[in-house]
Amino acid sequence: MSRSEFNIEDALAACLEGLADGQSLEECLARYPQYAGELAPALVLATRLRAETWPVLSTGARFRGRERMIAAFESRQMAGAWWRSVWGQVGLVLVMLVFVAGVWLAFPGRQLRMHNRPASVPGLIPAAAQSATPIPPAPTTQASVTLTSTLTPTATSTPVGKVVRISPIARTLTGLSLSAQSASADLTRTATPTPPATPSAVPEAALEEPAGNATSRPPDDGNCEPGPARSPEPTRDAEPTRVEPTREIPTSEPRETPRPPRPTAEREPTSVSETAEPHETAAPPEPTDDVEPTRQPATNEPRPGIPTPRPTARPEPTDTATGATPEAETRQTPESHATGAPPEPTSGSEHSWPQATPEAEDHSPPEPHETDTSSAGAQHR
Amino acid sequence: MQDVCTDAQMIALLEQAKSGDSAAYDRLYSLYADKIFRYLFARLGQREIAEDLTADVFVRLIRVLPSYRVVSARPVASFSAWLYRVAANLLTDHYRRQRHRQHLDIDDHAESPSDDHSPDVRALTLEQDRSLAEAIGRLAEEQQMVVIYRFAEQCSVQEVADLMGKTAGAVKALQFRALANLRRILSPE
Repeated sequence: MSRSEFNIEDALAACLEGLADGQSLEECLARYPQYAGELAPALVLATRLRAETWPVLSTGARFRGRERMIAAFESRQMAGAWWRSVWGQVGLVLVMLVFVAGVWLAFPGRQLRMHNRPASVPGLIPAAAQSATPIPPAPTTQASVTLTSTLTPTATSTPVGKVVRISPIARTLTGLSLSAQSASADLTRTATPTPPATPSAVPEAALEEPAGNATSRPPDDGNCEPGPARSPEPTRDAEPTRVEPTREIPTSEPRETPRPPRPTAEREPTSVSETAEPHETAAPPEPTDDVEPTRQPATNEPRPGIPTPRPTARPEPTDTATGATPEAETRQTPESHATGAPPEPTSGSEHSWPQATPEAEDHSPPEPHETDTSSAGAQHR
Repeated sequence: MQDVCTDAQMIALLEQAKSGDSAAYDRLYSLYADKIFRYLFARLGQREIAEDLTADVFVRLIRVLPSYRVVSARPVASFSAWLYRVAANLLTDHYRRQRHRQHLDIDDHAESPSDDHSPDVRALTLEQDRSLAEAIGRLAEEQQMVVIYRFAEQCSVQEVADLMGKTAGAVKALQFRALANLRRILSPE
């Protein structure tokens, strides 16, 4: 490149700057007269190029180009996210492997010790197994289940007493650490008689009272009529002292309302020998004896003038009692056996018998519902 | 140069785009779409192809921008030069494909642009004046860049030097030779 060419390049650049600043072509060429012949066509072409309307993107092409770019951007973002997740998982696995390898290398003899451990202490596991067997959790569970099943019929008074009796058995079973099978068998045995709720009370009371434990025996549970059973006048045979149950009968929940011990010595002597409240003093359940009394009352149920007390008030759970009749029925029937005569509808209280308590106080027929059960049990026995 | 954003704004814009901000890409498209299209059209002389290639440039931008290192000294000029380089590479690929296709189709030989020379169209715009566009297309690549930067984008010598990474004297020399060759191409003889 010669010096003149270099100069003409500078002259061309200077002339283009002058034209851009508003100078005319002649003014620019006048500054560089030695290159005027060569600069003139170049400046004309440059002016033409600058005067050209250079194209721009059409609206459609601009929109399409933008859309393509956005689509590419989104696809790349998704692909990047996928690869990031993949590499993240791979990295996590590698980190875990490195960690495990580091731990393994840090404790090289660990595996041997772990393998030798059982052999070094051979007696531990058998001893533990032996100690574990006597106290399995199963008996306790079984006992609780049995209790639940017996608790279900608590609508009547008698099953409540049964529950009280079973719970100590369960406790005993647990305390003695019996096997699960023996515990369940015992519980089943004890629980079986309870379902016939009303009749079961009869023999129990009958068993207890001959023994004369009615007063001495502590109440099993506060739910079961604490008063009457502990009353100091347990006249067993002839004295119909406890007549209160008559009040309970109309109300569908006799046992729940604690009745104060009413030594009704001045009461009319009924034929019923035993007082009520056999439940508290009930002896250990004997299943076979209980069942029978319940059947008989069913036949005697329909009395001509007496409406059946069965009605609505008492929800009688039939699940435990095998064919158990409502309590009212069972209580009525023994009455016939004990007294030997049906309840006399003398005072017109018959109609109101299941409900009206004052009348029941006056007349014996309604009363025996509790007492007659015991008497019935005694008779059967 | 007609860039509407400053160097600081360009740095922030590029960082946002590199971090995956779609709005930053949209802003870059608005800034450079017309420039890239003009460059491509000036070198191709065909609007449709130039439009398609312009879109391709920005699709490729999304792929290669994360690896672009922002130059803090002259971020606008550096990025512009880099983006023009991307367009030039795409154009080279286009020429390569076209050449391969011409080898396969012998009849395309009669459709060469040089056959359309006609002095009457010189008064038209560059889009209509295909002779001028074709003449620019015949220049060497650097001379083309200088012509486009200097006359289409109205850049100064120093700005073109920055864009092309050359000295101002080298740009002046390229400018002089580009105009001389262009005049020779456009002359009827």
